[in-house]
Amino acid sequence: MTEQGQKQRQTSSKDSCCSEKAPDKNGPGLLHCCLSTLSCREYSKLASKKLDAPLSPWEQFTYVVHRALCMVCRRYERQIQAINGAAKSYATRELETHVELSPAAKERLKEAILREASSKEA
Amino acid sequence: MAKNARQLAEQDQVSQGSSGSSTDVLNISEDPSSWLEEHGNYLYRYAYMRVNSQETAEDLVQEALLAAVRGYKNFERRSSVRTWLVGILKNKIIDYLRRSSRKEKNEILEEDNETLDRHFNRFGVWNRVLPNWASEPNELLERKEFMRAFEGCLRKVPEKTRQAFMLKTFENVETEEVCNILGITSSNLWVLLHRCRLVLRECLEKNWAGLEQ
Repeated sequence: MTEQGQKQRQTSSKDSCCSEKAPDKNGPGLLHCCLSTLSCREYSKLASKKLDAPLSPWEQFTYVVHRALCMVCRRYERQIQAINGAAKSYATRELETHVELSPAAKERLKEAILREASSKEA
Repeated sequence: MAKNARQLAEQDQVSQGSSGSSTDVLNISEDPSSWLEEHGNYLYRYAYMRVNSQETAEDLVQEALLAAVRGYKNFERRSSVRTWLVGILKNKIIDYLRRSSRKEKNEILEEDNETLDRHFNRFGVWNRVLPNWASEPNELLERKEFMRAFEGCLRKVPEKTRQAFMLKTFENVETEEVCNILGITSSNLWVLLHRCRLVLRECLEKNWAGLEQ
């Protein structure tokens, strides 16, 4: 990460998403978050649950209201959707991390398979 | 022979009872040891990603290949050999998770404030503004560095949390069955999935350079 990026990150970490000092620059103000009837903490749970199961009508209502008001929560939801997409892709894709059976493991497996195949012939 | 030999699961995808005579033999042209050469590493990576242990992954691959050797005459060739082997392996992995979940009791299944308090202040608001990711979500899957970081982060997730996430998202197993396999309630499951996503997102932010500058 560049120095500029690091400075940006340090700066943003000082302000909460609902800072009273900068209600629009960094996200909705504290007032907005209070009016939404749902905290970001609770929203994060619903956003996760929504990926796997339907929300109840009340959950859906509070989720929609908070989402409209909170930029950080919208961003969080996009990111966990991306994470979920990455996970689902593993149904068919190969690992990027290079791991292989060791030669010793291959040899053990080969012997076990040949033993099994021989016992079928017997 | 693998160090820890395991008993085979009672129900194999391919074991349906032998109808052949005692003189049945495997066709020499269908040498099972060629499956090891052609598919062994793929099966190993498949298992390793899901169980996060080299030794366990080797055992599971062995179980799957032996089950395949036993049940080869029932293979109807409606799919490729690899698809068929992966199907067997998947069942072995699920059986392994079912067995190991009975032993693993240490992980917190209820909502833990420690994980959440790291991210939210006392008002329930994010402690900080989350940085944006520079790429669109569907583009991320094409990025090797993102997927590599994702795999690394997933390996750091606590065992039961990772298993729940893997079963639900990788394998798309129904909620009830995931709960059955892991011996947890659906409430526990939502907690584990939520925790996993929070932790993964945080880890990716630290270990992947694809943040918006």
